[in-house]
Parts: sequence; structure tokens; C-alpha cells
Amino acid sequence: MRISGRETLVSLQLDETGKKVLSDAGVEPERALAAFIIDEDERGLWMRIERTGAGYWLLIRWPWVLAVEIPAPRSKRTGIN
Amino acid sequence: MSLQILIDEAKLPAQNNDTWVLPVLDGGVRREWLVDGFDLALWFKEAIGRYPAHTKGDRDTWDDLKANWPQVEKRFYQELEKQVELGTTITVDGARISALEWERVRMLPAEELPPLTESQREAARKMKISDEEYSRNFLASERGRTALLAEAERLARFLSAQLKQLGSKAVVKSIALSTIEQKFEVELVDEGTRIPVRIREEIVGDFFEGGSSEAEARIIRILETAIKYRNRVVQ
Repeated sequence: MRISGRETLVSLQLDETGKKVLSDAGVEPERALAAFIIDEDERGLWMRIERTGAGYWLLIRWPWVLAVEIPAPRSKRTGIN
Repeated sequence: MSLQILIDEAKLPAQNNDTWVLPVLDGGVRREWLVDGFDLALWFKEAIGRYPAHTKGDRDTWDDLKANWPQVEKRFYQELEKQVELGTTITVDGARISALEWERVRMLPAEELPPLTESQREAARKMKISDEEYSRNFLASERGRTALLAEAERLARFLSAQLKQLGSKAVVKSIALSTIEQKFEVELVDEGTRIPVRIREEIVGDFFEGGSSEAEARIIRILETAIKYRNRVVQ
């Protein structure tokens, strides 16, 4: 199952290396738990971060990701019976 | 078209979904119109410039809707006429959002964002993000869902036109898109007989977005096969 593009926000559990990478990238560790995943590939998850008013994409490598929590999809229904 | 929305008899969403049921009279026949809660709030905002009240939940919204019905009903009737003309119930399960849409939502002023419900505020607290950030994500998701709904509507119109060309009396009763399974589940009904059809989302995307004539031919072949198979069963 692909993670990216399904819902905007996912919760990430990262190991200590992953947390340090985010901290070095200027992202507060507790905010890193809720992330907008923009893409994914064999290297890892690409999350969007903001720094000094500009947007960046940051790669979180798979070995640093302990768990990903995705909100259950909501249904949208229209029509007339 | 003689349509009447019985707003006083609306059924509020159940706990496990966000679908309102608005009873309508269509040429004197009572029918049920399914309206998504986000769409309802959006039409209200388009009509009177603000989102409906929601502090105490859906009942708050309903009271606000009834109080302002003369101002907002025109917008609702526009949508109802479209739904009656389409004649297909559409469900989109999940969402998909582009980076471009995310950027658009990110640039919106805070006052344009939809207010959060108590459960959404609780979710924001759990995810340790601000209400505003959660609201932006919610809006981006809803816009993604709306885009998928529009694609399903286009598929319904295409299939209806093809059924006519095939000389079939079948109608497209419902279309459900599962973003996880990446499939459209289509239900045709021909003189009371239900005909289920599955079409991969990838093929529909190749046709609608890529303009592929091969994808178009494949969708038509899927439809033809479903109709022919049903005929053989009946015989």
C-alpha cells in the first residue's frame, strides 16, 4: 500500500537517528510526528517541511521509520435515491 | 423540473459518517438526497459569506441552515437539479491530494478555513499540531475528495452515453471509488436486474487525463462484456 497522497497528515514514529535528522533540519521533534508525506520511493518517505517561510522536501529514510499511522479514509457520498 | 427540498425533515449525519439526508419531492415523488457535510457547509458559505455554526455539532448547523434557508436555498437547488439530472449515487472512499493543491490551501488566509468540530480539535491535539494547521489539512483533503468525485461523475456520464450507444436500457445506478483498491465499483441496473462492473482507476485516468483512445476502448469493452454476460444469464 502506498502511503503518500492518501491523506494529507500522517503520524510518524521515528528512531533516534530520524529524530536527530529532523532536528538538524530545523524541524521541532514533536512536530515531526505529524507530517505531510508528499511522495515515497525506495529510499524512504519525502515529507514537506517549512523553514523560514519557504517549503522544502525532506527525505526520511525507511530504516529510521518505526511506524506510520494513517487516518482511516473518510467517505464522501452524494446522489439521490 | 418540479423539485422541493423538505429542509425541516432533514436527517442529520449518523455518528460514523458525515452524510446528511435531505428529503425532496421530485415531481411529487418523495426521494432522499444525500449531501456531504463539507459540501453543505461550503454551499452555505458561498451563499451568505460564512460557514454555518457548528459549535455544538450538526444540530447547530441545521438550526443555522433553517434560519437562513431563504438566503441559501437557491444554491442548494442548483446542486439538487444537477444530482437529479445525473441520476447516479457516487461514493469516494478516501482522498488523494496533489502538492499543488496543498500549496493553494497553504496560501489561504486563516479566516477562509473551515471551523473545526470538537472531534477534529481533539485529533489536532493528539497530532500535536495547531487547529489552523489541521484545518488546512482538512480543507486540502476535502478538495482532493471533491476532485475525485468530479472524476467519478464524468465516468458516470461517459458510461451512460455508452450504454445508450450500445442500445441498452441499463442505467448507471451508483459508482464507488475506493482509493485504496484503486478501483471504481459501478452498479448498473437493467429493468430491475443489478449488474456490477469493476473498472481500474488507472484505465479511467489514462482516458480522462491522458486522452488514451486505447483506454477508452477498454472501458467500452468492459461495459459491453458486463451487458452481454448479463444477457446470457437471463437466457
